[in-house]
Amino acid sequence: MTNKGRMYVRVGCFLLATLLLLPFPFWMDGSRVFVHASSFITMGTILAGGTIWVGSILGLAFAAIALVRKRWFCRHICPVGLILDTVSGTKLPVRIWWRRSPAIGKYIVFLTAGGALLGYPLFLWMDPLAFLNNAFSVYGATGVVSVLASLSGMVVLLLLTMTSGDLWCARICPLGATQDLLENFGSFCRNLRKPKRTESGETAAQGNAVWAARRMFLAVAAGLGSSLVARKIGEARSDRAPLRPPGAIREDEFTGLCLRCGNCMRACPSRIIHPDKGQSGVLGFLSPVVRFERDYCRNDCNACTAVCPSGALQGLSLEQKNRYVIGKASVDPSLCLWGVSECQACIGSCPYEAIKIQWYEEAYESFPTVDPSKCNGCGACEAVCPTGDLKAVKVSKTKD
Amino acid sequence: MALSEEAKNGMTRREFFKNSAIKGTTAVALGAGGMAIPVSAQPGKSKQISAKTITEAARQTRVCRTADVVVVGGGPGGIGAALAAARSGANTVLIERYEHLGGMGTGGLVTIIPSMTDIHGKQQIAGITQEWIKRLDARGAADYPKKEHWGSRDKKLVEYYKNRSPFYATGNSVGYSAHIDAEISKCLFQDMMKEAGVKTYLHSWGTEPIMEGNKAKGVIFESKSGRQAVLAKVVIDSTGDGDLLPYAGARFETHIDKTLRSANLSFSYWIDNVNLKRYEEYKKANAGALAEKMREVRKLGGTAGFLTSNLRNQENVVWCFPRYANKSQYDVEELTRVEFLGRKEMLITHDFYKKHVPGFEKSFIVLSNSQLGTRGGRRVVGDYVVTEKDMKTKTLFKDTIAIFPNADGKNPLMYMPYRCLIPRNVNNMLVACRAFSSDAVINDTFNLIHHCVCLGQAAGTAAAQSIRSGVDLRKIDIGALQASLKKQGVILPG
Repeated sequence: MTNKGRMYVRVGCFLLATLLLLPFPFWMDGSRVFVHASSFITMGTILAGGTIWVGSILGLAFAAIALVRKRWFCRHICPVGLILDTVSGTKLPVRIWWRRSPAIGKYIVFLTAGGALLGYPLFLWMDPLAFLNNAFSVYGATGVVSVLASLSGMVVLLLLTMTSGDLWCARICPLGATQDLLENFGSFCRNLRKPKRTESGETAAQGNAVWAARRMFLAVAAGLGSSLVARKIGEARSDRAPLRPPGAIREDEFTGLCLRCGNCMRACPSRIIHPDKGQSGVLGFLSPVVRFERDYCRNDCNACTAVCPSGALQGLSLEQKNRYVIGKASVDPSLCLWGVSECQACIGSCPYEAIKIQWYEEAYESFPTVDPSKCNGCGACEAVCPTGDLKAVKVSKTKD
Repeated sequence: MALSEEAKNGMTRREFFKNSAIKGTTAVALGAGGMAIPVSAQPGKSKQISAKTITEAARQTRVCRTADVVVVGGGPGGIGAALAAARSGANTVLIERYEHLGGMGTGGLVTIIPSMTDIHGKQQIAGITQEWIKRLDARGAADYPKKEHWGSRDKKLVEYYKNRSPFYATGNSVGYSAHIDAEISKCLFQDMMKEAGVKTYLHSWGTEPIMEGNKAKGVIFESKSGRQAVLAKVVIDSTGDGDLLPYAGARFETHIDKTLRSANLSFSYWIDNVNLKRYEEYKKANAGALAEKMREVRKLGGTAGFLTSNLRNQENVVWCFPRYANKSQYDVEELTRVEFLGRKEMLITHDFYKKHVPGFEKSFIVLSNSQLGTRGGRRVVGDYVVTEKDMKTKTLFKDTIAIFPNADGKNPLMYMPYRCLIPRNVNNMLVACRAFSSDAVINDTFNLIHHCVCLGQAAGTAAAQSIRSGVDLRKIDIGALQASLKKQGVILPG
């Protein structure tokens, strides 16, 4: 294909990507498909026991092409690559200090693969398509922090490219590295069938291969080890973990499998899903958390569970979603206005009739009380509670 | 309770009256350390004095006035009834036991008229309530969401109004609820009575209906001037707790489930000179710490939480409404207990706030209620008992005299029949207050200030119509009643 022809294809793919990512209500799966164009994500999620669905074919197909065509995806499809190529032409003094450093992308891939074996794909979130996808969730953002969070990935990539040329694409990008590794594997297989060449060349190649295999083994082992640590940390934190959107898998796996792609935040019509600013620790940074300050999880909606590309949020039917326990609500009688102004807002708001006034003989008074067996933590009560920042009724995490 | 049980067992009125009088004095006698004391202020010999009961001597009581309609109780129900009756041409007398008119709406410091709009923002309660707010408005003595915002579900608006008062936005939409000024309301009511030509007696406790068989003929009231009688063609009980019912031989119910709002008394007070701006800033920045403080004050026996006044030039005033469970809201022992407890806890609360909550450093208690916030007492058994089922089936009565909106989306409107104001087996008497004929749940939902004004307005209009046309209260032309209510600005179906 000519350079010009390739350019047309790239621009076309970029436009197609934009179209997929724009907020068309009839195109719910658009962003989910888009993310699965990344072989890194597709293979990572499959390895980690996340999602396999029709969309996975896309990532697997590109992976198959990568076996025979070196970085074909980067050169023809990748919309992030196109954006970065565009800005790398700007007239900043580009330093190429990194030229002699090794390509760390491969190790990211190995670490992730190692982690994925234990259900915790460490760096799956470093995928460029996830970054771009997240940038498009900016129109679902509520507040400055969410805007910054959704744009952060792309901004970092742009800055990196503007100051250091194609450092990202050539050395770091795990999607690129995945293709490199696939291509290496492909040529290795092809070479098996080819007749042997000169002795000296063979020894050199063998030496390299041994070194490469050792490094690969070490990286995978390191991935296994660190994911084990990460999961232990997640488990230890799970008591004070923030509320997750419905369908979320166990907290210790969630922070690893979540791509920070922003799909759930953007899908939520109530805008109650926000990027985490540190509630769930460093490992959970920017992962989705649910807050019921202004609105609640509607009982006629399961959008967030349907758009997650990695399976961090399991796909749930509406009925399943309404049974999924986000947390449990409880009333703090010290803050409740029932005693002060006859407020019964939470009682009226609960879609499951889980809140009733109950009489406490010992205290000789009555108070709104939540029946935990009926509560799924949808947050309707918390959203409607008129106590401002205090919130007399709050949904909190429950132990499984 | 005991009284109602006996009433149900079908005693004659005379026996009933005798018994209840005796029971009434028992409490007083025991309260005074077991000594029997004569209750009558009139000269005359008491007979059969014993340690437990006394029998009062028969006596003659001065008739101080003869009228068409006598209304006992000058609270929201009584105001509606007296104004409507007088404006419809009846010679009307109003008897009020405190030194002011307005009842819970003024002396009880329940200075909130909630939800006059339905969930869609359409006004359903108007009439005298609307007149009241309109005239307060002229002095800047009322605060409520702007009319164009009623029914709005805009999140920012809802949040704004909810922060101002939980009554302004219930659930997820803005509604028409007003904070009102108690003192200006007192002044306003006396003007309104004067304009309508209602003869008002303050400081007068209407105690007994004058009965002839099952016909009410007037009312006896006690005051500094002694015991006097007002004769009238129609007696309207607007005492709130249905104080006349036991003596009229009317059946009534008293059971209120403990989990209901109306099972609680309230001891309301105001704190002035609060720096609310400072408080709000603190609350925003230190929600967790403030919550901890609120838990602490509750442990000490105080109450957390308050409403802001919102009224003009009352930017530093907050309203507190602590709530007290009780055995009965018309038992003098309980009323005294709660009154004392309320004052004690008011000090605990304020002391704590002053010491520990930013914004309250220079605050002071400016006012406490002159009458306890009563929410539920006797409920008359009327010609029709309105039940929860009527609400759920959205029964539209032919004799609907008021529409009550409800924040509950499933049962947004409640229609009130005229028959729920007429005590069963009693003639010439109407009940126009929270003692209207209803089950505990309906009473709990619809016995607030504006509901009582509505019931009063209908009762007063009906009484005047009955007298004018010479027809019994039960047989009046309902169409004509509804037409004249509509003329008075009452919103009715159709």
